[in-house]
Amino acid sequence: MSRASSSAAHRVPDGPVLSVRDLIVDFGAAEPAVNGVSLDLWQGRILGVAGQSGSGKSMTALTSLGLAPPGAHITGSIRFRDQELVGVGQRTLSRVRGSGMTMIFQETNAALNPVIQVRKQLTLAVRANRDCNQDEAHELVVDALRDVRLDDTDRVLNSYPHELSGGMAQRVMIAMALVCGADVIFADEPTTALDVTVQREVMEIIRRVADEHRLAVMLISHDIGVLEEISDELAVMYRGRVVERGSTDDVIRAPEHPYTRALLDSIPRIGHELTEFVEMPSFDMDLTSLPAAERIAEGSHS
Amino acid sequence: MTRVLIGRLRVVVPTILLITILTFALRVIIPGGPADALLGGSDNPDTIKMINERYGLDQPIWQQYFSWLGGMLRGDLGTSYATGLPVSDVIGPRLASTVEIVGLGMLLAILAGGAIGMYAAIHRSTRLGRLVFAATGIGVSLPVFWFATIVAGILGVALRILPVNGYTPLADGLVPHLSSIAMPVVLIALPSTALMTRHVRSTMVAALESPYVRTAWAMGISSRRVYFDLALKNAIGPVVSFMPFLAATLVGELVIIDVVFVLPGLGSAIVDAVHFRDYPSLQAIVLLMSVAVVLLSLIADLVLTALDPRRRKEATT
Ligand SMILES: Nc1ncnc2c1ncn2[C@@H]1O[C@H](COP(=O)(O)OP(=O)(O)O)[C@@H](O)[C@H]1O
Ligand SMILES: [Mg+2]
Repeated sequence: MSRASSSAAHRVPDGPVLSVRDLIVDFGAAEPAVNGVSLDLWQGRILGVAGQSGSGKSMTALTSLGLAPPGAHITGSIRFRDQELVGVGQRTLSRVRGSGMTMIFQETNAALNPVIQVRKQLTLAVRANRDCNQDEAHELVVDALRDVRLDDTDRVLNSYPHELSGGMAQRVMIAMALVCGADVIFADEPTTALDVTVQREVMEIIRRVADEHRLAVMLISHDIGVLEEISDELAVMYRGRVVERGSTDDVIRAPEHPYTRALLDSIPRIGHELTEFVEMPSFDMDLTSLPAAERIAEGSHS
Repeated sequence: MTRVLIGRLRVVVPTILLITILTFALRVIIPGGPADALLGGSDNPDTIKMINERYGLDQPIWQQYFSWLGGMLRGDLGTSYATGLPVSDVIGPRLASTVEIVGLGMLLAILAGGAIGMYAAIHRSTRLGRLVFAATGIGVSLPVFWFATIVAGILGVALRILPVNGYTPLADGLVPHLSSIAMPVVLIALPSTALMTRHVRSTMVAALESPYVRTAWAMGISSRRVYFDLALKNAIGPVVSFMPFLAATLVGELVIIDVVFVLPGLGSAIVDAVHFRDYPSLQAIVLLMSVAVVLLSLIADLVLTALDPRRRKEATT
């Protein structure tokens, strides 16, 4: 699969479409859920975010959309285009959600509304974000379904979510994100519940729609092996921090941080003996002695 | 749909049979009989024997049960010990006020409880939202007899805003009719409104915190649509299945309301029947109410099947 090359077909964008700086999301626990994260998302590029469960990946994405759970104390900066989103009201955030940034989730069976037909759910997403009549909405919906390779559009549109396979439901979810017309898509473990072949299909679809629609994608997974194949860049999170960040090739070839190495070692690789599957080592190190995440990412390769 | 109906009937029919047995057992468990009731303590054995024979009480108990049950199935509710008239003549005239007050009370509980529950769910993290929720706790445990007496005393007797002199039929004019049932309806609906509010709040909160509502937010769907289109649609199933419980709660308050407001309803008919040891009437009323609640739960199940695509699918496969 082509990786970094695919985005080179487009003109180089003038700047990141989403810029997160020193984001802290604190619930008053011993350690903030997100503890000083800085990330950039660029149009047409996929940023893979890896890290074990609880490292703050989902919280980073949800907070960027203004969907952090109540009780979260948020500091730092989240800039979408020219708009600062930290500290603004729900009114502004809800204007950005959908047409600017959106998110797809794992467990699509729960993430799609069980009592509403797919047609209605997709149409609602169109209507919420675009000014168009019924025919135009239908056209957009059908186009989006074709984009995600759901060509039997009538059958899909007339289904309820439980009548779709996991892979189809996730593609409906991606189509829903597409009809919103967002520039930024957060994909939170979109293939975790799916089996391996379906997982690959869905990942290829995400790569292709990112290229065709010049979408900035933040692709979250606890499995760095899934990310390395389609991401342009990788970020590794550990206990609320980005401990490593760089182009996918650099991170895979020369991981700087011991945690990244441990993550990479846990992937079974073709060509290697598969005699033992290395479990994710439980990791406990003192992060205060580490350089700031920013410096790790940028300084480590110089 | 027929499949679901048949499946449900397999539960409903035994339930109703069980209710008939329990209802019939009332006669066996509670001491005294028509002889007591009619003779007022006379102990002439011949008279007692004659009365017992006339009401079939000399037969074995299972035979009494089956002839009673057979009568019920044919629509013969028996003969009142107290008046000697058919039980249907005792119950019939009492149905109107009960059906009206329970029906309007239920409507009020659904509308008010639904609206307040929605509000409390949407504003669950604000002070007012929490206050509303706390208030329902009081509503649920409110002693209706005590409260109804106080309200009737204040509004009816002291301030004379509303009448407390019983039930004025619709035939005597709309305004007198409505003002005669206003207090009973509101008071009978109080506990069930509180219950409904809590139920709607909890199902709405579950829907609002569900992954699919999070998806809707992420897709930029407006809050109006999320609350009143999406979440409400998901909350309606649990609310429908709550209806029989709501009805049972309302019926449970009927005796108190009938007594406090001197209404000619089934509640006061129960009181009279107990007073006169008029078991045929008592049994018929209890049976009627229980069967109504069971049938309502059957209807609720069918409505749920029609509403929920997942159930609908199960029903056809
Ligand atoms: N509503 C909440 N209140 C307090 N802490 C939370 C809440 N939701 C998540 N967290 C905490 O945030 C941290 C990061 O969670 P999350 O972003 O879901 O991790 P990941 O997606 O990487 O698995 C976890 O330690 C979790 O306990
Ligand atoms: Mg997560």
